Amino acid sequence: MDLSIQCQTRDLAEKPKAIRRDGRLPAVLYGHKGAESISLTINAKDAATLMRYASVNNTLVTVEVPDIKWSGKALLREVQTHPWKNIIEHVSFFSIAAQDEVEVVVPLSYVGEAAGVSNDGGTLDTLVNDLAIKCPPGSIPETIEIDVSNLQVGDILRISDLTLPAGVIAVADLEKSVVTVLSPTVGAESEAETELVDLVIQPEATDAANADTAK
Amino acid sequence: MRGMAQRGSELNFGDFALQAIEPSWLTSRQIEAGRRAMTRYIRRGGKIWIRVFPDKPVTMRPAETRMGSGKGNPEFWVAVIKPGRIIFEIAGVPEETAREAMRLASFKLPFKTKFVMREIKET
Repeated sequence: MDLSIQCQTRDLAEKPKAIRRDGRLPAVLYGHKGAESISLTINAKDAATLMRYASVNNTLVTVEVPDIKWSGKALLREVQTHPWKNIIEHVSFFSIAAQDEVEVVVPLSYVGEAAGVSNDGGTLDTLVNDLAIKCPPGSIPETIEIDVSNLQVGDILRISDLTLPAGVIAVADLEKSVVTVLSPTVGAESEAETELVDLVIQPEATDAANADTAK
Repeated sequence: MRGMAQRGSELNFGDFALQAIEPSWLTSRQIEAGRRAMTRYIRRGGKIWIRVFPDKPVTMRPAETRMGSGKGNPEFWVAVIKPGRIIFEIAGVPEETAREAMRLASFKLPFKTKFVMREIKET
């Protein structure tokens, strides 16, 4: 899906809070011309719509800045939000035009049901939900699929075990664990409860024993 | 207590989380009560993360004592919670189970909370 957003250059005398009150958001574009950056503003509603489809550090967006007659593909590098209100406060675009290779974060999707879960009642423990990779800007994978159907209880899949698409290199430590199947355990809580049940039952048992001896 | 959570406000480990939307102190007993409420409901499977730690000691003076003669004794420990802070995270359970477990846990906490989940992007 091709996503695009139109931006306006920002007058730096205008305060960010005033921009937000006006229904716009402060934004920045960099990477298009060395270390230079341009301060921009975008429509808040457009940004919210964009965020429904685009992921941070993963999706390429066509950024258009008519004020300086610039248009190009950019990576949504950072999106600052309110801590709990889901309100976007600032957006950073990283132009990929001059880049041979970009570092992005790709979500991992686990495919299949692990043998250790279906047969032995274990729990699939996903230790990593996304993976930082380096790849050419034109071939950013949407997700990396991991087949977990062969995993038995106690098996660990590491980053070095993953089959990555051609041209993609994992940035993280190759020995890092990605997913494992934990052995089925009865929770400490239920054990404690069983003990409690035993404690409750015991007095009755002794009472019955006493009654027997009295007879 | 002023301000918002500057860190620990994003879902990092699990799929669902309980997020504070009010500032408060959270005692170690309240954290443990919340954890128990969740584990009792989930019973088996799933994994829980507690994203806060009560590292602030709170002192109190014994009742009916005169002022002076030093500071009171540490009575309990609290975690300072600011709006946006993730308290619990959970993974490996369906959404309905996680939602109910978090609802039960929220009754043990002294502030308003919000259920959050990992974003799924539209295609």
